Amino acid sequence: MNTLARDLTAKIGSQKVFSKIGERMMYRHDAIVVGQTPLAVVMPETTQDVVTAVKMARAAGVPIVARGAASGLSGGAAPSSESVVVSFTRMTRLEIRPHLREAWAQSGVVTGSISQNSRPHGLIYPPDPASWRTSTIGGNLAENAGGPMCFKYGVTGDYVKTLEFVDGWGVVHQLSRDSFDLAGLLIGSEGTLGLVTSMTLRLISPPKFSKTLRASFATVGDAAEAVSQAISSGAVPAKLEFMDGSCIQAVEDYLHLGLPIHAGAMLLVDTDGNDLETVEEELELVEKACVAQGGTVQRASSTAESDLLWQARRSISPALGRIRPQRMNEDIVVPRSSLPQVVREIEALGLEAGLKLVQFGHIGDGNLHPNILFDPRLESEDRVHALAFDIARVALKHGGVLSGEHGIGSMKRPFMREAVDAPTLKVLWRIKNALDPQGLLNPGKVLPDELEPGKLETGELEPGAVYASH
Amino acid sequence: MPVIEVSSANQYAVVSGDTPLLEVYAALPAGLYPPFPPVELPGGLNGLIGRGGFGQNFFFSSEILGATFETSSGEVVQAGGKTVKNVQGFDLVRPLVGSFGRLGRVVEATLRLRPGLAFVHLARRGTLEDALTLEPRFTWQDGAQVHAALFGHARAVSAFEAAFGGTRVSESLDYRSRFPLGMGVGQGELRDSRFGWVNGDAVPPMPELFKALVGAMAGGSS
Repeated sequence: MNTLARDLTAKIGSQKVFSKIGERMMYRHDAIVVGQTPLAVVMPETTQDVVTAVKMARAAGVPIVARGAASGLSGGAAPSSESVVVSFTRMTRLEIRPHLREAWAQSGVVTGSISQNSRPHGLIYPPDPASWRTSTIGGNLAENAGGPMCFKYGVTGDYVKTLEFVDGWGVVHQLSRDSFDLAGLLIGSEGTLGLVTSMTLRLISPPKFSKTLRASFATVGDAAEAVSQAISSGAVPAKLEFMDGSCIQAVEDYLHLGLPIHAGAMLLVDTDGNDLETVEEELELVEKACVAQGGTVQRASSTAESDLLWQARRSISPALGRIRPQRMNEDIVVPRSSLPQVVREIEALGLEAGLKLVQFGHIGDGNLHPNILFDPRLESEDRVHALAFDIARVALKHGGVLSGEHGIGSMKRPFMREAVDAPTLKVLWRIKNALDPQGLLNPGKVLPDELEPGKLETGELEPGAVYASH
Repeated sequence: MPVIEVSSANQYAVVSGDTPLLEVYAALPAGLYPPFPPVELPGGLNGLIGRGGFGQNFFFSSEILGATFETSSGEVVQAGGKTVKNVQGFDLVRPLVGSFGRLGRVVEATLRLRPGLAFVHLARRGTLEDALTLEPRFTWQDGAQVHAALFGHARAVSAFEAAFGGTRVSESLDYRSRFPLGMGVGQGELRDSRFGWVNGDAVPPMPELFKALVGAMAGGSS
């Protein structure tokens, strides 16, 4: 056992600290990156435990990495160097406050359990990242997670009313958001500015009615145009999901649902609200726009039929897992109007690289998930990286960003210098230095290394980054 | 320079910080709405963003997709962008919105526009608290009067009008003359769900750590 693990065990208790190598190795990865094995893993049960862990790690000069369920897709929770991992999975207190239409949650609460516990009170928590059954709310805050509902209802950060966090010195802060919104800076900062320990979340009444349609199109361009027309005619769908031809084929090969495999693109659309006629009218607006673009539309006539239509979208991950053992899940966002061009360019890049590529995503937000499927035994990871870089460049060229909901983590860090202009990056570094002068909070994430004045930039691809398998 | 670009397809507008709020309304195509009510307030868009919005009954800063701002030391910083979702680096938009100008001056901002087939602005005697229960898009109290505005589907808007009552406000309002010294926070005739607004330059208390952010934004040495 190393000294720090021993000291943490003595101070916090052997039930809350993992120090054996076998235990520690379980805490070096997220869902995509395998990082360094931590020196110790602290399983706090209270904010005070977090404070103690931070103060002791700081005194030892050891980095601190916050971790939730490790379902992240950008390497955010995978330590880039020997660290103390603070795993929040035991901080699971949850209190629904129906009269205030809010929930108070500790960071380790599983995202899905918030809506589950709110529903008996006639309330829900809308943000729905794909990992909602397993991800923690603290991890969702750290990455500012999204999901299909976000086009209409907003992302994780939009629901945070107040939060409590422990800074790099071990000091606890309570933040609200009506002015001087420091919480807004913490959210999405991936544990590089502080460790969020609890929060209050806004809840909403779930819409009474929801209607679904599926539309298939000859080309991605037609689908994107239909979306654009539907939205500009006044429709605000609750969900607006897109799959390209290869993605449709992959799901059909897997489940044989009778999907339109000859289509170039497919849309799945939900409209919702409390007035059934308005919900129907809104879906009609979408249907009209789809038909006008030559789409074939199928409307679900019951909840069971809706579920069946959505099954295709929900099954993408397992379907892709059958094609290649590993995948790199990109997460770019572009202005909606550039989607047809962006999807075409990315398709061409995949063909050129000779790698299997499928595209799907939240088309209402312009949030696209191009997935590179590969077998590390047969296909070069350098080529996968190169293709990922080229895809990121397409997003930037069209006025978009590197990530909409997965975060930068370590995976997209090498692209940040191209994505963010130099004066802005300087300001981001100054903020990091002001809140974490020793660089102990989740180093090697979000921001690229600050260049010494006069020093030339060297290659920044993470040495030895290994992919976690699915 | 007023409204620089309006994209109906992408539902955003790029607007210079010095643009008066009613000019933004005037520049938008029918059926698209900005994240503020049709009321002129001091300081145009820069003032509005600094104060964190006015009268909203939703999370205001997520409607500011991006902002270019100039720090007190003259650096020009790009916060956010033109897309609704964006987790590329630290979020500078959220702390900028509602910072009462302490992080810098907004040179231009990209506003998310939302569609609405119908719009209504109503006023009647009453309180903000009871207006809020009807879930308007915007609401604020002005003395004994409470204002509420909503856009959306025609039926939703008329149902709201029936529930709220009052009379339609068809002309745009200009509150600037009430704030010769600036629009500060305090107890007064005018209030929304966050603050009371009074003539002057009072701001809410700033959290200790936000001061570190102000220092970092202004320059490395402080």
